Amino acid sequence: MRYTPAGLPVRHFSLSHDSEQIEAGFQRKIQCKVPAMAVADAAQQMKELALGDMVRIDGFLAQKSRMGTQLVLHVKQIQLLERG
Amino acid sequence: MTAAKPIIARIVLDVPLDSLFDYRAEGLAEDDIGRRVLVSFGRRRAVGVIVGLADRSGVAENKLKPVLHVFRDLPPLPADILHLLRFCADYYQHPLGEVVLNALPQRARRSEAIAAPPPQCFLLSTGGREIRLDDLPARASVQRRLLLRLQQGALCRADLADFGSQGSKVLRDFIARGWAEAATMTPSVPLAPTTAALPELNPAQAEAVQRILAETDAFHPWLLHGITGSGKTEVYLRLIESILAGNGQVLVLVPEINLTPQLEERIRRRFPRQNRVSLHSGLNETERLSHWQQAAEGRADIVLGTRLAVFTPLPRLKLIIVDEEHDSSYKQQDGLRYSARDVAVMRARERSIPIVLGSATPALETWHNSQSGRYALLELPERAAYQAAPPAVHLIDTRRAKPEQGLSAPLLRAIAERLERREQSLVFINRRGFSPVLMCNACGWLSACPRCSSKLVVHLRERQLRCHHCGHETHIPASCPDCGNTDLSPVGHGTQRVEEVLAEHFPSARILRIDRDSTRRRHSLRAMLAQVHDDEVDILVGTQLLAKGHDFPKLTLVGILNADGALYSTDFRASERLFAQLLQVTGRAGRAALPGEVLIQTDFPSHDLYLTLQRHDYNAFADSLLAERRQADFPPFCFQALLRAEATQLSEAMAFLAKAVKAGLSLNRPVTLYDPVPAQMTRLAGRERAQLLVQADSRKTLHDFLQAWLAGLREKASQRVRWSIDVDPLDFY
Repeated sequence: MRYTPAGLPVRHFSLSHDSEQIEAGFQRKIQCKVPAMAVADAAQQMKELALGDMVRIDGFLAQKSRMGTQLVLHVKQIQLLERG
Repeated sequence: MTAAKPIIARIVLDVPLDSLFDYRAEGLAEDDIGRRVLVSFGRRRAVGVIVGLADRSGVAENKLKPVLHVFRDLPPLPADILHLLRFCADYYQHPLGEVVLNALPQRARRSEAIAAPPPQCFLLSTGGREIRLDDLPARASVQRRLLLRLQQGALCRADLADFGSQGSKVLRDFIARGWAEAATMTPSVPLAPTTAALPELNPAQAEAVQRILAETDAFHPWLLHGITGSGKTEVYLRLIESILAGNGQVLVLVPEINLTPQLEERIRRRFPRQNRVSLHSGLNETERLSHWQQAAEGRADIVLGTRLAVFTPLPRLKLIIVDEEHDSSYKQQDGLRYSARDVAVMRARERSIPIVLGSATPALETWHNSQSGRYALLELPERAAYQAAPPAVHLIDTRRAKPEQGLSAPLLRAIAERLERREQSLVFINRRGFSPVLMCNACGWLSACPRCSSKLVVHLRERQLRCHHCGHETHIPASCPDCGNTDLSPVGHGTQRVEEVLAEHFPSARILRIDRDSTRRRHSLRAMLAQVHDDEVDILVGTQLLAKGHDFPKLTLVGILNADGALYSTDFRASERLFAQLLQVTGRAGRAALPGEVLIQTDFPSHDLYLTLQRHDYNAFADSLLAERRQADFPPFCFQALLRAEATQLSEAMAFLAKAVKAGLSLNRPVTLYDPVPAQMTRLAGRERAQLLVQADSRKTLHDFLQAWLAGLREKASQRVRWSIDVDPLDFY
């Protein structure tokens, strides 16, 4: 956990995703890892979670910095689906 | 019988008008010149100072108002001081009334008379002289020590500190019992021969002392150029001793109040029985007045003060010492923009006494004077402690050894070595706060000051953004004011951040940060310096507060961060200042038995300035800078004045200066008028500023031009534009 200069807690983590999707009529497997972060209440909520927990996330994508193209998933809401 | 002619008093008042005011003053005599008076001025009453008497006035007799009261509670300003003040008003183009009134302690500018000051000195009474040491209980050690001391002669209030916290209570007790009494005047104590062994002078120190003392009753300006740690202070002390023995007063000027404790302490220890007073802005009004009064009445033997002390009347003045003469704080930056060093030289000339300008890095102007023979040069080329050599200076190329969090690996290693050897390190970074700016990585927003063209500095611990120029303060915003991003980043390093990074690297080290924020409380700096001396600190992080004058025997490493900034400056004095500052900081390392090392982090390890610094070669650096200045026709090879204007809108200030250029050109004098330009920091505290530089080949030409030019400008004065003139400006902002 780190803090912004104004004192808000920030938590960085990575999310892994596993699913099957249809693309051009073909079913395909999707596996990916997305860098994510949570600020303030969402960051506090992260404390309850452990590695491997399955969660449902509501949030948005934003650029990590103005200078690069890397994206980060910002978490607005997080819901525990299943303990890992 | 003819009626006595009415006497007219010519009075100056603290008003921005360059004129004298006539008042009727029967019964005043020549020796009242310099006294404060109360007069009615317009609808109010004001305190003024008599600067002359006349028997007629340009004002019709029935319109003349009388002097309401003549204050006789303080000695009048003596003729030499009035003369000096007139010179300053004239040279710096400032109204005489403001100059004169500002030379008085605040208390003396008020319309109430001054109550007699509390007694400063105490003696045994007739009854007290009968008391034997054995009459006091053996356990009353403070009483016994105080009695012993009083038996040796008068005791000054300032020396009560020697008796601990009980001192003043025990003294009051003595007075109540009728053993001690206040002495109305400080009895002149003959200079007691020092009993303690004095440090031996090295040949250069001895020669300096001898040459200065060879002729003390004529004006002799000396430049005492001694490398850091060469024992300039010891030379001062020997000079003071000799002057005091001849019953003279000594004025010692120091640049900043923060430098005063150490020198003050050394003077106190060397001359415990002499009456020493200090004069600086850290005193309260009562102390200031009392000290000024003791100086002006000739009771104080040594006056130690900052620039404002240069105007203190000193009837027995026989020597002036200006320590760290290159320091820019000798220059006042508002009101009367005088240079206390230059005024001190003028004062010494008027009084026909020697003046010693001391520095390891003399101002280029002073150096030039010493090269051209106007000042005599005395060099102290060796460190006084005979084992001590100047520290080795190494440059860390930060393009290769990329610093992490501001600190490069070689510097961290060097600090670790010092920790192991139980020696002290200093990390110097001339920037206080956590980081100089707060930035939004998402949109590029920067924490700008709403009132200045500057950035707000992050003070993380206080969760504040502060403007170091206008004092504006605000909370650190929880999210970016432009785009809403919460994850704002402090960019760059200040002392607080360096302190934090060091604490992460060296968790068990005792780290002390010394900057203006950590020393805000009165006497806190003194306490912190004591901690360093008592070996309670391993790593010091500090700003220029630590750069000069301090003598820490266990400090063997100085790390310098962020020095490169000044290399980019547009100010032609930036490199002179940077070199002086670095040489001063460098001088903190290895002053006693332990050898010192200096590490400078820089992107430009082959820059001439750093290479000269590595050789500790001030003379070579000064000579090459002088050659540059000569080529560019910059000071000290020309004389400058800066006309500054400010208004709510830049355009108004610029328009005023454009008019001023026109007026200046029409005078047709051999001066160069540059174009008006916006100040580098255009906005300050909500006002927008511009400036105009004037340059001439001689002081006289410049002065004559200014006289004529400014008289014209004063007539055109407008409410919307405020302007000021700075003769011999040091800062172009």
